[in-house]
Amino acid sequence: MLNVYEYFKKMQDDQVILYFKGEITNNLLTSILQLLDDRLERKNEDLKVRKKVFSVLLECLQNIYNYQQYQRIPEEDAYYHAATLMIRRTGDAYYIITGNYMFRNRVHKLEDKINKVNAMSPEDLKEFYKEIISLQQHTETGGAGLGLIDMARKSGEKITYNFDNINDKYCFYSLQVKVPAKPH
Amino acid sequence: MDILRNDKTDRTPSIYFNPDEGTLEMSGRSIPENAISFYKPLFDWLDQYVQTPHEETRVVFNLEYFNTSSSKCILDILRKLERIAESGSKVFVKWFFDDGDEDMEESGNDFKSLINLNIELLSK
Repeated sequence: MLNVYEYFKKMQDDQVILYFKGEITNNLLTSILQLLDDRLERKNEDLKVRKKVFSVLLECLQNIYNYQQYQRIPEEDAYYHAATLMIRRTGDAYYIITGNYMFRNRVHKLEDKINKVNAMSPEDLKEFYKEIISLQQHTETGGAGLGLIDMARKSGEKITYNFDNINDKYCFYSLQVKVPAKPH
Repeated sequence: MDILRNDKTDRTPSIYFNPDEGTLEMSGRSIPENAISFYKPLFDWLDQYVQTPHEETRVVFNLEYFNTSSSKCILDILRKLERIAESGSKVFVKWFFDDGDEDMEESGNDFKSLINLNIELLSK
């Protein structure tokens, strides 16, 4: 039986303003950013909040995109290219939530980095940002190694994450970044 | 040297670099997934410009958004401008941000503290 209403109701109750599941491509990334920016502008969202949401979303999506480009999840594992994105607007904040598959052997390093960033004060994060940006090399994934630090600075809140083991090789990485906003 | 001109796109800023006048302006969004390949031509031009710079070099950053991949390239541009200043050109940098955009203002301050140049932060 077709029951779209259940999905819809669930998202409505969870205050989801945007949901996507599938492979993150470059054109899609640009479209999603534009869609969200237009919506926030239409809702007369505060400029500072709008820019924070945009920046955090951008880094989240480019992290996933770069990961898939450079870690080379093999073609026969195309199933694991799918990712998900959800944006919620609750009374006091926007939540940017992403999920994607990654290799289990990368988890440890990533978890250490998130914990490190979460333990830092805004001043520490500023200094850490300046330290990393001053390094000569870009990272192996083509990024600047600044994504998580930048998200943490713009959010001002702790980053929430989880890893679900799927099988010997893959796990599912969930990430949530909160951007505080005035009640709407 | 010729003028370097790039039109802005959804993901990349407009760039206008006039070596005869010593002016460089970047405006718009800088959110390409691979910023290095986008900025490579500008890097090359700046490396050429440093050899015979104009007596004054005036640079304007007027960015709406930039991603972290671009932030590293922006720092590299500023480092090249530092070298241009060392080679005798007076370098003036203007960093614009929208009134109320604290993060863009903060970014300007970050670069200012990393670079030995006259960087002016201006709200618009």
